[in-house]
Amino acid sequence: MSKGPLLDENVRNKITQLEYKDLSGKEDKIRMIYKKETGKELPEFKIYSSKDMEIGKKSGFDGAAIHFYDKKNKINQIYYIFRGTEPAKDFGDVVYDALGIGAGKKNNQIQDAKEMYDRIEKKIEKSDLKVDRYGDGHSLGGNLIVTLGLITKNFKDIRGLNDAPVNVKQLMKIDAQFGKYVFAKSGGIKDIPPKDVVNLANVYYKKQKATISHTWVKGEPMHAQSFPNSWYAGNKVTMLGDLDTEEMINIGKYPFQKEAKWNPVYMIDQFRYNLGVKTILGGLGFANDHVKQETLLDLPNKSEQYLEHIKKYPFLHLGEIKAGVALGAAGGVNLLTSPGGFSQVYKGISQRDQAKLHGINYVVKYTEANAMKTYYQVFDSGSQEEILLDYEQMKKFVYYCANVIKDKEANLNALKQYLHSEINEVFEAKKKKLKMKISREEASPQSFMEKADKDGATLAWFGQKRVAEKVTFDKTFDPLDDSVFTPVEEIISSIQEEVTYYQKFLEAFFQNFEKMMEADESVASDIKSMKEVVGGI
Amino acid sequence: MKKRTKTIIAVIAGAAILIGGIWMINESRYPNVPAFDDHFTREFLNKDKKVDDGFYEFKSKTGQYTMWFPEDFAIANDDGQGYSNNEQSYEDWRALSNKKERGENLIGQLNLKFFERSTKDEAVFVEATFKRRFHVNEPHIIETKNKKIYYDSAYTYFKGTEEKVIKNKSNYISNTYVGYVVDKHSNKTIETSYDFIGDKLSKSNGEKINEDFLKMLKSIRFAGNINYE
Repeated sequence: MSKGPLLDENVRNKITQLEYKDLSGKEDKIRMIYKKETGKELPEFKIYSSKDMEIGKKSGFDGAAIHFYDKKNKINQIYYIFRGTEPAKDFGDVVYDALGIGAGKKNNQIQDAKEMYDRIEKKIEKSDLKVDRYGDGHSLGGNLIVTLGLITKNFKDIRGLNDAPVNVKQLMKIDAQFGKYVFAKSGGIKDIPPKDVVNLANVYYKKQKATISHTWVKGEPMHAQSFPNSWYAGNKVTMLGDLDTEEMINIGKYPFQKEAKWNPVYMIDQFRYNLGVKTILGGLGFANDHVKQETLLDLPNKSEQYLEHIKKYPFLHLGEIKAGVALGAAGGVNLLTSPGGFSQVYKGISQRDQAKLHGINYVVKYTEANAMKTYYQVFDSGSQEEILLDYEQMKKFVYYCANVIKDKEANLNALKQYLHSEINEVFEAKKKKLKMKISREEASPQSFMEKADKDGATLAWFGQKRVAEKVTFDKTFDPLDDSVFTPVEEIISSIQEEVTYYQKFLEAFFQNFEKMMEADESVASDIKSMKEVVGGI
Repeated sequence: MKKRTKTIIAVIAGAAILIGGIWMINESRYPNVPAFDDHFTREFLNKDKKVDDGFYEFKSKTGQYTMWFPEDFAIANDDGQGYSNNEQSYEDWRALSNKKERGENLIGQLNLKFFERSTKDEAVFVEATFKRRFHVNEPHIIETKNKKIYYDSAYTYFKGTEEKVIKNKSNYISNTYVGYVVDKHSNKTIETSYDFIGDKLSKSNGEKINEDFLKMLKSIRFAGNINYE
């Protein structure tokens, strides 16, 4: 059995940052990073880089792996590190990457990542120690490492850093087993709704999900983007930086969704907006067919020279111009002439400075400064969407629920006591008091009659006075009316419902979180002790 | 009704009938099979080239290979997610079929990936491909003048989310096929899988699927290889 991970988050972030300068031949630099962080020396390791292996020339894939092997100390660990296409991106480049995945234009990079993985795994398989696999990827590299982890199903821990989501429909093509699973579960339906595929992915990749986490700088543009079929596989999200920073606009989501539910103007606008986004996705395919891959990859870096070149030699760029016109006319006009589109563009401009937060440098900086908060990603069956839960807040809420249950159960017991004995006791006491009064009155009938006949109108008639010899009262009592019990019973039932609601919530919380966090030892033990405390309440 | 209004209505109706007629004539030119009923799939197929019983010639958009495509399948690309390519070096697609054959419901999935990769480590990739799907690396090999075909099959089923594999047991008819085809003259490679779901396959259905899969694999012709094999 191998030891725990050699490299902590800080070291892994810095190595991912270094991968942008290509890890090949950077052994000394890696040792230095480790020494600086931990004060210790690294065991022997070997670096594999996609460049040295001649992988990714056409697709633009860039990755590396570091294999640590120390038989004596039982260390056999490999860290796969995939980078994005560019070290510094603007908002447009980030959206291009996200939409590129949405349009399935990055599958050749996944293929290259798989090729690299297969070749490295073959080289390291001879060891008699079980190998532990770790993965890190920034931006598009995050999408690649997560996808690889889902397909190979044998990583111990994967971290996506400001990463792009996985496309579940692409996953059905790349992972034929998953495709078959979805196909079998949906009974052979051709067009399965994206949400259904995401739900099935959550079930199918449950074990792998537990090994995947995401680290996002708050306000960076990538994680805010969504497109049909996008899925952030994983249970844990660490948010870095200033947590008050507003999230960036999501190009794939119409901004006035609430209004569009009832207002026909917004309904039509939403339709046009979505059409515009779809056109951009389609347009990317069009651009891909007409524009050289190298041009697309270099575009963000060389945009100014590139535009100058187009102006000078338009005929050399006919394909790109055609693509640009198609994108601009079909996508741009549709987006910019719609209120929703305009609102997004306006907001996007005001947030333009946030685009820089996407860079790996910010991940390194904020992790080092420990400016972070951990959230857990759970599927909300109500909204049918993945939501982020603040674990600390969640913990507080669990204790709050437990205390509420305790208080309400005490109230419930008091009310039940009141219902079953106190009301009857009061009733019996009242009955007893009345019976005593009756007995007193029956004992002196004349005095009762005199009290009852104060003006003497009936008993003293023309001087002929009557004396009461006996007074008899009816001593039977009706049972208490239901109207006395009903309001109390209603209160009891309503409190009971509240208690059941909180109890079910706690049950579901522990059931889900215990399984979800199996892989995260510290959280798992925290949940266990929390359960004991709550159980004690 | 004014005479002008009547004329406009007549022109619109006439145009609609004409367009409808042209559309119907155009549609009737295509074979009445699922592959041609789907407008996206038909872009790849040659309607005049029915190459064998149940197959039409498929030409990749990368221009890098052709193969036989089963007429009862259609590429599931209604939402633009069933097909993708990257210039000439990569292509993937997923085609589906839903039909009744010899009294049984047969739901089929055909996944194919075309890519270029070094042939230096061919054995490594073959091993990874078959182990990933069948947990063992025991493919059959067919070698021709221009290509090398690795293929294997098994009966698979899901127990929960885990795919269980039963191989080489005579009472289990294979429903999962995997093929890995390598061009002998270049780096071009095709990885494909053919899956069927439904009631347990009959022996005759199993034999037909096996036969069809081999036909597809053998029919693959990479660009640059002039002669058919």
